[in-house]
Amino acid sequence: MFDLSAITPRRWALTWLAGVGSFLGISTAMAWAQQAPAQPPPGPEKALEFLSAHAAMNSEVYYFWTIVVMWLIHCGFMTYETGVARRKNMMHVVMKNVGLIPVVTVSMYFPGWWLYNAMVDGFVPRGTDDPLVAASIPWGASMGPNLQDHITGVFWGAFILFSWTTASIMSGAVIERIRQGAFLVLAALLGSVVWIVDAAWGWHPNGWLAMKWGFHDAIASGVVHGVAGAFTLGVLFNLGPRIGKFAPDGTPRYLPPHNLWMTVLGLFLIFTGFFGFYAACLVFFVGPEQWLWGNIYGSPTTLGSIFFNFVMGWSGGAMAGYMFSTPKRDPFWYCSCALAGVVSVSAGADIFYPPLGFLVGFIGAILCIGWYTFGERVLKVDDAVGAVAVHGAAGFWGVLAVGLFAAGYPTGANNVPSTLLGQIIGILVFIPLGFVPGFVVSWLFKRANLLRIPEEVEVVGQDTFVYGDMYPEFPRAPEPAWAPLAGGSDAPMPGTR
Amino acid sequence: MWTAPFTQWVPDLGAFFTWGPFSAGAWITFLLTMAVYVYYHIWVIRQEDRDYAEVAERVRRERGEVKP
Repeated sequence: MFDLSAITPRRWALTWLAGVGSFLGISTAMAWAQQAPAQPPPGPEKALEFLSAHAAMNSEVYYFWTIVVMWLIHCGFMTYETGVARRKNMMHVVMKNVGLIPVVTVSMYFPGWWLYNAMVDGFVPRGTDDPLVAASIPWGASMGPNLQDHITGVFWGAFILFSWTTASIMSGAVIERIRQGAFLVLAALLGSVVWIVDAAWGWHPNGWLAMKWGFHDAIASGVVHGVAGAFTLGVLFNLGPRIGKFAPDGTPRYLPPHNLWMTVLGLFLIFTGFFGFYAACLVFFVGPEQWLWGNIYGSPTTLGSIFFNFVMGWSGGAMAGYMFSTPKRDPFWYCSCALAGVVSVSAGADIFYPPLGFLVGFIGAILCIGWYTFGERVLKVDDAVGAVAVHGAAGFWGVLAVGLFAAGYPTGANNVPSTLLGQIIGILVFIPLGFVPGFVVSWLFKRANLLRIPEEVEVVGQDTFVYGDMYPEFPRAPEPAWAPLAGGSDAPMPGTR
Repeated sequence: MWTAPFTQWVPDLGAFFTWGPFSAGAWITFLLTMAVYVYYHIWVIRQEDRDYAEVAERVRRERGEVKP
């Protein structure tokens, strides 16, 4: 039996509203369908025009947000390097990371962006008859607010972030003894001239390395990381080690980070920012025949491809770092080698089979540790964060790995198959292109006595006379320190750090 | 086309600069930017050099290596 008592006023009201609402909605939809004039379907030209406009707007939005994500790389570099620095130098390290941003930004406006588009044939720039060159000169129509151009500004913005990243790679290696003035000039040179020239050659669809040799470095293992590592090595040779890094007999000493968890946090910020870096290395194409994601050379790939290899390379690098670092299971090298794994896999991240990406990252991390040990024990180089190893050694290994494992894949506007020879030629070109400017310019600063801080300041700490102690509320435990190398004893000097 | 905010907001100044690609305005501001940029580098190097010289001398004096 139907129970009338179950029909409460509330239920009745709700049922009534639902019924009336449905009736009105259906009636309105039917009336609208009868009255709406029939629209002719858009023609294919109109559809393509609409699709292209939509793609242009989406590209603008897409690159804009990759730029925002990439800021985290610089938050990460700052945190990471500050954690590695000793307490007496923390704020100076921060200021160095902050200071590189404005100088590299301005010099990437000119000449950086023009160099990228003009130097594709070598050292002789193309003229403004090339539309890309014409669009890249700073007083041109594309290099400012322009209602007809939705891509140049954000694309340049992505390259700005690449440039900061490249300069920041050197930044960590030289902490605790370089002068800010010398560092800023070197950062501008590396961040907006040196790396951008190699990018024009090997990271541009019309670059001569890609066009003639099929050079393939999709996410910039060599173009950004390798070249920055070579440049940094040139600077380190002239800069010399931190006081106390080597015993009088040349034995390297361990200068522990003042805050290791901060360093690890910094590395994780770098990893997060690198998702933006990876994404910004892809380009979205829309044409009458097809639409696709392409790598920086215009060759097809997908966002999924690079994600696969990013995380697999990361994993391989991290595992190798945990197993082979010295001391064993060292947190710093655990995470630094994860970064080395990402750097290694970047050149072929668009095409590698992900387990291959894992192995490339694993091997890259072993090479990274090997290079660091060699540099410290044989070359007597004091690379405070292992930048030459993590970025230089692993970066060039990544370029080589493409030639070993992915030869034959077409690259560049000419669709030239990548080869082992082409990858080796790229490495042989990039190493001197990075090393020589870094060595020569830092040598000039050294000759002018403007490269390195005075010994007295280095022993006491760079922060002492400018910023003071950054942890004034915490008691300061005696920390081990070491006497100056020249004529000093090898005994610890507690309390001087 | 540039959106040319200068010409909209400050017509006389905008007319002088003829703001836009390859214009005198673009050239002048570009050259001024470069001048500030180069001067900034020189300023940082000189400032830092002076500061470090003072600090180094103070430390040497505290160590007794330099007679006041």
